[in-house]
Amino acid sequence: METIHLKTPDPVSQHLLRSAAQQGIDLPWERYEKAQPQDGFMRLGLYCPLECLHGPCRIDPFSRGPTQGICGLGREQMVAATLLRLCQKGATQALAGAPHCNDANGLELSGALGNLIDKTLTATRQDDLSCSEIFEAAGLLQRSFCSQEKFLQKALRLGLLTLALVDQSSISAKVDTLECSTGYGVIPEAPVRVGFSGRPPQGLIDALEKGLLNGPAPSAALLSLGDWLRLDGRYMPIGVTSGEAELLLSSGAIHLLVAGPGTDPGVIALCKQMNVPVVMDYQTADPGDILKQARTRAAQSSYPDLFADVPAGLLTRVIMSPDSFSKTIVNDSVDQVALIGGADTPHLPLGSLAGDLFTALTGTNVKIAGWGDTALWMARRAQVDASVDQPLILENNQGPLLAIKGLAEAEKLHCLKGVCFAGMRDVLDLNIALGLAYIGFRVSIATPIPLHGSNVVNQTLSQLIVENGGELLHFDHPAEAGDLVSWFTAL
Amino acid sequence: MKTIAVHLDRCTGCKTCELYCATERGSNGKTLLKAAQEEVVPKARIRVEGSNQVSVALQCRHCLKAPCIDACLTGALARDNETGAVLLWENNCIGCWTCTLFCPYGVIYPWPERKIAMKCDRCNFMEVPVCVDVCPTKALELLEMSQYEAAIGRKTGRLVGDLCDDNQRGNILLLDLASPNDR
Repeated sequence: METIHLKTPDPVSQHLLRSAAQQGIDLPWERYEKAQPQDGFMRLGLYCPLECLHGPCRIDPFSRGPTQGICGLGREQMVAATLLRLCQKGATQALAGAPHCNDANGLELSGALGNLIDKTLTATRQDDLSCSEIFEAAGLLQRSFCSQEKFLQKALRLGLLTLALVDQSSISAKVDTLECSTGYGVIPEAPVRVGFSGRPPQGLIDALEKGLLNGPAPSAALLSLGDWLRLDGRYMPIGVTSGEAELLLSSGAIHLLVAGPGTDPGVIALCKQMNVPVVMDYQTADPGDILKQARTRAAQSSYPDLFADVPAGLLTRVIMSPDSFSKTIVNDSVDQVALIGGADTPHLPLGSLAGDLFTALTGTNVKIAGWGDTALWMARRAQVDASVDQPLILENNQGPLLAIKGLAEAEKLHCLKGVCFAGMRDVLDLNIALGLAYIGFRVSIATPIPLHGSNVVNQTLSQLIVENGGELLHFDHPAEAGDLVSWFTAL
Repeated sequence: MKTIAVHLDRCTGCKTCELYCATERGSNGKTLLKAAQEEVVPKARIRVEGSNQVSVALQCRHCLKAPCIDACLTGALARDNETGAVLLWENNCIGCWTCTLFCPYGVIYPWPERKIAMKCDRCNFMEVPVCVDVCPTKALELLEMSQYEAAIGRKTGRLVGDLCDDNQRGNILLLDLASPNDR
């Protein structure tokens, strides 16, 4: 356990890590270590994305092996096509969240973000966006002789399309802010705990909450394992960040798990290992039965009190609308804003980058707003460090887009120092990052993306972004806080 | 004496050993992503040969009677008394590359950029050679010669066991290589 400090700096998490190790439970960190080194060709983007089934083709980065794919695809094209493939999947994911936009005709762009996208399209003399771009990208990826520039341009357009789709998928918030309690402190509050992961149906969550109100003793609590789920008029308490979900399960504190789409397979496997009931069949799931199972499991189980000395749960307010963000910025007379967000990543110790960056930037009078796991880590840091204020926490699905719309509303877009993705949950985040950079914002990504197989592609992508006044910073190593502080303060 | 054993049945031909050998031993950056961007292309001292059916990672076998040592004009190639490995003393190498012609496995390479030869030194200064460390299927293993021989023995025993029943074990086994259609 010598490397425990590399996994997370959080003392409670470290305590749980020791406990899991004593029980012989494998967590994501062990799986990550066993997976090292991860496929080098894929990490470099030199693994052919053209799904012709003649491959897989790979290009040797050190020029001793193949320098082309079987079809003749060169190194630059292969890296660019890898990026396009990722962007195509990201745009598909965004489309799944906005099925009403699935129209082959042009997308209607409106609002502040729509205007920014429109401006970029006009400046670069491009056609209007439409969802058919996703299929066109699929066509380009089928044994295509396209140049790397064309692949990159399409990838950037898909970034713009993703921004538009995420923007249009946002449900107009009826409230300005919602309460959310977070941290390990929310765990000991009830004797029976029903955990939630992924995106279970809202109807089931509501039915369970209703069942709790009318149910028998002992009282039970609904607890999210890192996902942002809504209860009536507030967020479900978030016990841990998504990277700590298995850590919390290993403690035995969760008596039943409701696993929605997007739940990691490791979470389900660990539940089976620990005999924690898992609900995955929502159609037939009866809320009464679920709560009964949880109570039975709680009565049978005993777990060491690992949460005796944890800090109390932290009650925060999540900003739900651009209007609310705009008012906060204006009322607090903020003139410098940094957006930092994203999900936990195995490439970095959990929460260390978010916490260090937050502390360092707060010292330079920059107002920090965050989303996702990163926001939770920053809130935790502010809870234990009296010298820093709580960050502004943004609604998770909209994240940086909400803040940008709010800044545009307050006519303070010039105050934005940059947008940093401290970790990426999936390709949707990559598309948002590319889209934001392409419409002229400074964007940084703290974990490596598979572009380093070709310097030419890297330079071309930067050039395309810089031409529109944006900037995309990404690293060939997991970034440290120092790298990003100097980037944020460079302006 | 330790040697790098190659399990043919485990090698998938993924070339991870090649990538990380070039990165660790041939680059300044020492990480794959940095190495891939370097102007002087890093070179690996291991090579994966074969086809989709069979692949094998080849690196210097540190032969007990090494032709490269005899071929070397300047004595730059010599055996390390302590480890038994055949090492290249770069200061003495004049880049004649005679050794590359004599190596029976073809695993000594010219290094034109530095005008010397290049070969696997079994990562002499490291606890475990980098190729062994990164192999995802453990097809490469660092073994003492005695362990190596035992492993060969086990594999041969398994092969015999697979090919004949218990009554025949220990007898001479003749393999009929003719295909059934030829009979």
